[in-house]
Formats: sequence, structure tokens, C-alpha cells
Amino acid sequence: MDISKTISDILLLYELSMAIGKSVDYDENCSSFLKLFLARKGLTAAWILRRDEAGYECTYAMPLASCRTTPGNGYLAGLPEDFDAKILPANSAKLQWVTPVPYTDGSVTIFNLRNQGLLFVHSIREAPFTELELNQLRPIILKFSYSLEGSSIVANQQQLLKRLESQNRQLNDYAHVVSHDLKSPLHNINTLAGWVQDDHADTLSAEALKKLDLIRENTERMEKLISGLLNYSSVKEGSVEREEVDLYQTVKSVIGILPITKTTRVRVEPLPMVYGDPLHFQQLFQNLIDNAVKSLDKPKGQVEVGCDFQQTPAVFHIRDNGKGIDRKYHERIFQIFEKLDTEGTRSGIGLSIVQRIIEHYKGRIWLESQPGEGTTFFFTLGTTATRPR
Amino acid sequence: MYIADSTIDQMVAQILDHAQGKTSSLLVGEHSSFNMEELIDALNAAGARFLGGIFPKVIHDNTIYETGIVQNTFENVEEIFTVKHLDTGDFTIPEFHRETGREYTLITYVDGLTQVKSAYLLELYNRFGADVNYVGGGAGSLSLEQMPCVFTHEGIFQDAAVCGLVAMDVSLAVRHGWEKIAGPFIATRTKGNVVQELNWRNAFEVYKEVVEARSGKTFTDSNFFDIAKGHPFGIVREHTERIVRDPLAVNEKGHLICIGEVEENTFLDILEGENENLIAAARTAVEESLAKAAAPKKAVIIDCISRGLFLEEDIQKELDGVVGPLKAKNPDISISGALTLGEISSFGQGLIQLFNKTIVIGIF
Repeated sequence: MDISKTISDILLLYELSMAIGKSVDYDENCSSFLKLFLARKGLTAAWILRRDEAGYECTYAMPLASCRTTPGNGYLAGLPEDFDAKILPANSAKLQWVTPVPYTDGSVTIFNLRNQGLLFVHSIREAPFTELELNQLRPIILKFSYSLEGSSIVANQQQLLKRLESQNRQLNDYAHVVSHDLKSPLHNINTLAGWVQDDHADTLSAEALKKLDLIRENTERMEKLISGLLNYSSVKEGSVEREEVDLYQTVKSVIGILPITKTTRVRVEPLPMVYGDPLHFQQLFQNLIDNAVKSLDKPKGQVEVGCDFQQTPAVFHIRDNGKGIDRKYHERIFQIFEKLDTEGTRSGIGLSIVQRIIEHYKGRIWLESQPGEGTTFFFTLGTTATRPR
Repeated sequence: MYIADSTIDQMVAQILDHAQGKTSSLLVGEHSSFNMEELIDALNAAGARFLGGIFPKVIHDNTIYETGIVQNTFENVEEIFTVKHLDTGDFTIPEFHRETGREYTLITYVDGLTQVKSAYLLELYNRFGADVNYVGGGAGSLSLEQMPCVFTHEGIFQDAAVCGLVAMDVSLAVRHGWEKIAGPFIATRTKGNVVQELNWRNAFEVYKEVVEARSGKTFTDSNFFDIAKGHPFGIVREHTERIVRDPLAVNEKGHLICIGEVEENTFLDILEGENENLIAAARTAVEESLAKAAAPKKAVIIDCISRGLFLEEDIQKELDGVVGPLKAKNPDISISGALTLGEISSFGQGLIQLFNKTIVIGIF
């Protein structure tokens, strides 16, 4: 046995094997392996045909100039499923329609890529591979077919993701446009109703004035609903604003703008600095604290905002001693337009916005509640949180 | 034809006179004293059609020049094009109609010091395929300082290649004559043209062990190429000679910088050459090429400058050994060429290869 030839064979197989799967991209994967295969084995061209409903489709060719779609072929259809490789004269009638350029000399070797189709290689030699070489190449070709399967799966996923992103973008744009266009006439209705009340307060009956009040209340509610929708659609994936945000100051300023009665005590514990969009964190705490305040039903309302730094990631909480939420609503409340109050003053969008913001920062939200005793919302953020300065 | 350095007007007049309306391939010696941009402007103004490059040295018949222009003319040049931005990979090769059944040759001169020549050559092959012959070489300065060095009517460029698609067949032969002394080694870590590791060890450590033991010489801070020029790498291929890769320098990390890329996990041998073997290989190349050529009219010699540096004064013997057989049976044959930074050919039908320390003979 020629040991140096055996070592060379093994090293060549190692080299070929290492060229497979260098990229998950289908074309780059093919290029990386096939250019080496052609160079080392002195081959002229390589192409892959994959069976689809219409017959065989050329999915890759080197050189690319020779790639073309081919119709079905009786010879290929008749190949057994478990063959490994076959060598045919390049001018064989059996290769009609599957050889991209009409080769008159040499040979074409067909390798079985299993469910990834067939790999064809052209050589100017009539016997480009010995039986031993074909046996040596069997695991390489099998590995190549597995890597192509991986590339195909990734390509399908990427295509799906692209489609989803596009649909999501369209949906956001749609929500934004519709919300914006709806707000304008609503605002007009509200203003006009106000003018009618002001201008004809003396002549209109009390019942008519009350109905005008109802019109204005409903338009204001509708406006809030639409503003909520606008906020919801504005929490987009990949928002670019990223800066250091002092959450303690954010919560303090939110408390300053919320209508909080004198019987309510809001306690804010130390909160961390985080990186992100300041507007997102303002929306997040505004919705959670507003919900907490609105749920209060005791003579002395208590709301507490805090953060447990002992855990990783840090866990934030907003705790109230309000009316509490029944367990059966714990998941539903995060769905858009879901609300528990029957007064109709809330849009049912607030917690959906909160959840969307937290998802945007790769965090998690959950709650614990005892009806009659109160509720605690917990959440984490994927963004780096540091202890307050 | 050889055109010595003179005024732009005189050189343009000589080029036009020799071209007689045909397309010119202009090989310029790097120490020429004229301004290339002025020459290009003047050729454009005169309506000349041309492509070319600046090379360390140029060849006309059996003489090597460091200055002046070697002109070769081609009748059936169907397209001339420039491919820019080879360094960024942001380039495309244009597509041209070719007549079925007609023979084509693509002449290409590429910036020999651009980083990713293999991607360019692969794209060229992908575009034009195996039914076109390819011949050319790497342009640039022997100082290894990168500069604009390939040109057409569009101007002179760096990190670029120029191509001429000629509707003519060419008989090609590629030989080097270097022999294996050690190996195989696996290039376990590489980056472009830099071999960082051999057999999972620092590349220079491995290379040094082999070469110092073989040559009896010791590497110092300043003599790397003096020793390494006699011990290139050989990339193993089946059915033909190894592809030579020239280790040009060693960096502070002990990584070997080559002319031409070495893919990761390539297996390599370390080679050694004897002057007489290299000269004999060149003679074999010309014989192989002549044997396949039907009616030789022009010969193009693309010889490696590093081969020239290794052979020293024996480069003339090599050239005489090539030109002799060419002239013997074809006294009127026009012979032109260059000593290049890497040689390009599609010898044996198939992928275009970039060679080092190799001689490529093309007979039209």
C-alpha cells in the first residue's frame, strides 16, 4: 500500500469536507465546495438539478453562464433512489436536457444528493473517477447534501421572516394612517358640538345639551382609543433611539402628570439606569401606574414602584392595594382592546402597549393578584440595567 | 513590437503605426519615464483601442526590459472592459454575446497586489465558462507598493482588472518545475493571502523548521525572501502540477504573507527548485503549447517576477529556451510578454487559476 498516496487522499477528503457548510447561504455553500471540488479534481463544470413539481430545476451551476432550467427527463426519473454515483459519456443521449451546454467530449458524473437533487460534474476525461475515489467521495457528497438541506431550511425561514416583517410593517403603517385620518374628523365633531353648546346654551333644552355632552364624551373616548392605537403601532421592532435613561426620574415625571388623588400614596423605590428609548419607558410606567391608580377602591390607596436588584435580570414591580384581578383574566388583559372595567373610560390598549414595549426590550411581564387585596405587575428588561448612580 | 521611452507624441505615433487599426495590448515596464495618464489621453485622442498594464519587467522576443512598451496587436477583440473595486468585492462582470461554435480567448491584466484576486477569477469563470481560454497576469510594481497599474481607454486603475475578449483560439501551457521536499501540511488558519497556521501551529515556526534544515541557512530579521524565494508552497491538485504560492514576507505574528490567496484547510507541500529544472519546465511548456497550436502567429509569455528573482541571470537562459523553439519553426512569430506578480491561465480546461513562480505560454 502506498502510504503517502493514502495520506494525500485523506487530506484531500479533509479539505473537501471542511469546504462544506462554510455558509448557511445556499449559493455560497455551493460555491465554497464546488470551486474546490472542480479545482482539486480537474473538473470543468458542476451543476445541481433539484426535482420539483414541473420536473427538474437548476438550483446552482458553476460556471453560472451555463445554468438553465431543464424540463423533466425520463432517464433521471428512472434512476433508483439509493444510487450513489454514475458516470456517463458527456454526449450520451441520456443526458439530453440536463447538460446545460452541449458537451461533445469527456464525461458527466452524476452524484445523488438525496432529497437535494442531483449533482452533475463534467470532466474532459472519460473516466474522471476510479471506483475507489467514488467510494471515498460518498461521505463527502452525503455531507454536502445535508448542508444543502440546512441551507434550504434557512432560506425558507428567511423568506418567511421577510414576508412576516413586510406584513407587520404594512399593518403598522395601516394602523398609523387609519388612526391619524380618523382623529381629524373626530376632533371636528367634538369642536362643533362644543360650539353648538356654547352658542345655543339658552335655546337648547336640557335634554339636548345632555346629549351634546354625551356626543363629546364619546368622541373624546374615541380619540383616546385612537391615540392608544397610534402609540401601540409606534412601538416598532428596531427603534433606533438608544440612550441612558434614569427610570427613577422617568417615574417621578409620570406621577407628576397623572391625576392622583390626595388619598393615594405613591412610593417610588430606587430604580436603575437603563439603555433605550426614553419615550418607551415613559409609556410603560404611565400605563402601569395609571392602571394601578385606577384600580384603587380603598379609602387609602397605595401604589409602590420598585426593583429587585438581587435577581438577574433585575425584576421591576408596580404594586397596588386595589380591587385585584381574577386569575382567569391574567393573560387576557394583555390582549389589545381587552379591559376589565365596565365604565368604558379606558381604551383596552394600555397593557398591550406595555407588553409590546417589554417584548421590544426582550423582557417578560407577569402579574400576581388577589381579588379584593391588590395586584402586583412584575417585569424584566433585556436591556442593561445598572444600579442608580 | 518594442517601443523605447521617448516623447508621448513619438510613442503614440509608433503605436498607431504598428496597430494599423487593430486593438493593442500594451505591456509597460515599471521604470518607464513617461506619464501614463498623458499616454492614455493621447491614445484616446488618436482613436486607438487598447488595454494593458504596468509590470515589473516586460519581454520582447528574448530581451527583458525595465522601461518602454511592448505592443502586441489583435484583430478580433470583440470587447474591452474594466472591472473595478476588486478589493471590496463590489463588482460585476459584464455579459457579452458570443457566437456558438467560435473560439474565444480572454486576456486579463489584474492589479497583482489587490487582496481578493480569486473572487475575481471565479466570477470571470462563472460569467464566461469553460469554453473560453484565459490568459493574463498580475500587474504592479516589484517594490510591492500598490499603485494604479491596469489601463484601458477609461483610464488607469488600482484594485481593478482589464479584459479583452478576443475571438481567437489560443494554445496554452503552464509549467513551473518546482519539486516537493516536505509535506503535506494543512493550512489550518488563513486569511486571504496570509497563512497564519500550518498543522495547527504558527506558520513561520513550521516553515522555518523545514526550510532551515533543508537549506542550511538561518532566517534573520532581513533575509526572509532571500531564503523563501527558493522554497515556495505547492497546493496539491490531481492530474497536474501543484499550484505554487510564493511566501513573500513574514509578519510580526509569524504569519506568512503570500502572493495569491490560500484557502483555509488547503493542504500544501513545501517545494524547492533547481535552475535547470525550472528552465527545463519552461521548455516543456513551450513544446506543449507549440504541439497544440495549428498556425502560430503570436506568442505571449507570462513569467513570474519571483521566478526571475530566483533564477537571477539564468532567467535569460530560460527565456532563450522558450524563444528558441518558438522562432525555430516560426521565424516571423511575434513574441511579447511580461514578468508579472502572479500568472493567470485556464490550463487544462476548467477553473481559472492564479499561479506564482510559474510560466504561462500562450500561442495564438
